[in-house]
Amino acid sequence: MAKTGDLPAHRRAAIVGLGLTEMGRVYGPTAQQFAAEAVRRAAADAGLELSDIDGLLVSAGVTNAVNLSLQVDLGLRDLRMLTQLQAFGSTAGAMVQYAAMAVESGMVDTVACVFADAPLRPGLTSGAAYTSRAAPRGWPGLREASGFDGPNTMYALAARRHMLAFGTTSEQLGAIAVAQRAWAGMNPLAQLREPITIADHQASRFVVEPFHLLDCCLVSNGGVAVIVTTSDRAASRAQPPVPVLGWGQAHPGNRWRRNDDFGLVSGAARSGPAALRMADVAIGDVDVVELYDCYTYTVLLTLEDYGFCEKGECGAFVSTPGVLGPGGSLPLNTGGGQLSGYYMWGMTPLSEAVIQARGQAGERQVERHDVVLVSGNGGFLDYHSTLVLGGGSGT
Amino acid sequence: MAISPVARDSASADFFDGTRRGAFLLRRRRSTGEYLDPAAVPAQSDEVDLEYAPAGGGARVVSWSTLRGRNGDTEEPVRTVVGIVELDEGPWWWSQLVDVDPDGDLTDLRVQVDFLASGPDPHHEVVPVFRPTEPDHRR
Repeated sequence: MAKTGDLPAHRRAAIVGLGLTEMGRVYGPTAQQFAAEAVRRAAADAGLELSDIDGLLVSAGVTNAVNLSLQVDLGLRDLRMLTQLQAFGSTAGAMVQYAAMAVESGMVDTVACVFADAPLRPGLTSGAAYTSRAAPRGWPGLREASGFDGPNTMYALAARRHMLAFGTTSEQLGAIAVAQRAWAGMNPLAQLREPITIADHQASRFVVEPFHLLDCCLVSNGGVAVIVTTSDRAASRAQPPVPVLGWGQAHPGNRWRRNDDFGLVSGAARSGPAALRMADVAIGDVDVVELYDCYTYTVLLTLEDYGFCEKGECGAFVSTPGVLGPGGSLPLNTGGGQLSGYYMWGMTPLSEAVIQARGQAGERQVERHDVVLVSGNGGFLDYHSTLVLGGGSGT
Repeated sequence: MAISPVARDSASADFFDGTRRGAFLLRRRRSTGEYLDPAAVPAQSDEVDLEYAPAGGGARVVSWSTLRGRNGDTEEPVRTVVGIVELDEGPWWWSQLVDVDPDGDLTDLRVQVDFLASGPDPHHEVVPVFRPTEPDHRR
């Protein structure tokens, strides 16, 4: 695999714009309207006109309500790249990867990558928004009829397997939730900012054992977009450019089939090292880590697979005082993540990564932010993407 | 939480024909004898290497979880245990585990397939569930 350093500097891809709409229990706009607003905000953030965009990558969430007609809604004429992507929680990272390849090849100059969703409705619980609505027929129907009607159950089975194999405990998972809530307390965009304790985690109701409520991510309405262009164009834009240094994907392909790694090893174990090699950095060079955290357990597994600790030892690692949370040795999910911040699928870790890489995170800003590692995870640990982004702390 | 009704489609019809007569059908490669998931499909439309073959019904629990819900009629809290089981033939299966202690350690528990009607109507299929073979783990 080539290293990004092999390309001429002016051809390398960088993120130059970030647009976030209102997020959370925000009712009224459709998913497509959230998407359009996110792209407008990202372009404005970069100091670009919408007419400067010549590539558009679209990603829809659980409601699947954002599509290629977004081009028309935005009045984007004569695009040179237009695609809808779906790799679930790994899509945001994948969009940036394809956008980077497209601008580095010269196919396009400026690509907008956008995700939006609006599954929440007044009076509908967050859990109901993600419960299967498929007709109970055939193989999917058989699984639904048997109790496998959403991601909670599958991730709970994965987490239980990790607990059985390595002795991981619920309290150790709780340490991740507590640390991320502490970061969220400094993020004005976060939906949940009140501090919590391990005791609060343990006292929160079971959703699906072994997951308590505080092990599970939020559900949010809203949209997020980023703008990718080449470094030479990025240099003249309104925001500090965030170089895309490396990337990788891994999709094991064992969905609903025997998988002896289920719950123990994910695609992150191949995607992460590939991305680091491409960026020509080592895991020890990473300053900030923004991981897909649909559940506390997902964070724990990804940390292991990326190599921040030995396999099976992450429970002890994350619960060691001084590792996680503000001021800790591992700045992880510094905006509160999906657990406490906002749930925009892979755009949650990506957006916070851009904010940190730029040095614009206010009181939660991590001092050293030259290398930022971002994960995306989709399905039931079925799809994985990794990004390595550059920052500008100059330290 | 009871099994909810499920209907067949063309891809699952042979499997549900099996459950109605008390057979858990897997796919098996004629050439190697390897057992595959019942949802496995031939690599080519004219491939004849895959056949249906009944599983023995024995399995062990790989992982499990307890769902929290409410009885639709009485609103009483209900706990349902679901799990991944490794069939003796090799494939994994995702199923309800019935008559097990929801607070017990089900690691490697030996279970045996049983079959339950998923609903009251004739088109509601019969679905597999697994029960412990060891009395100590029964609820």
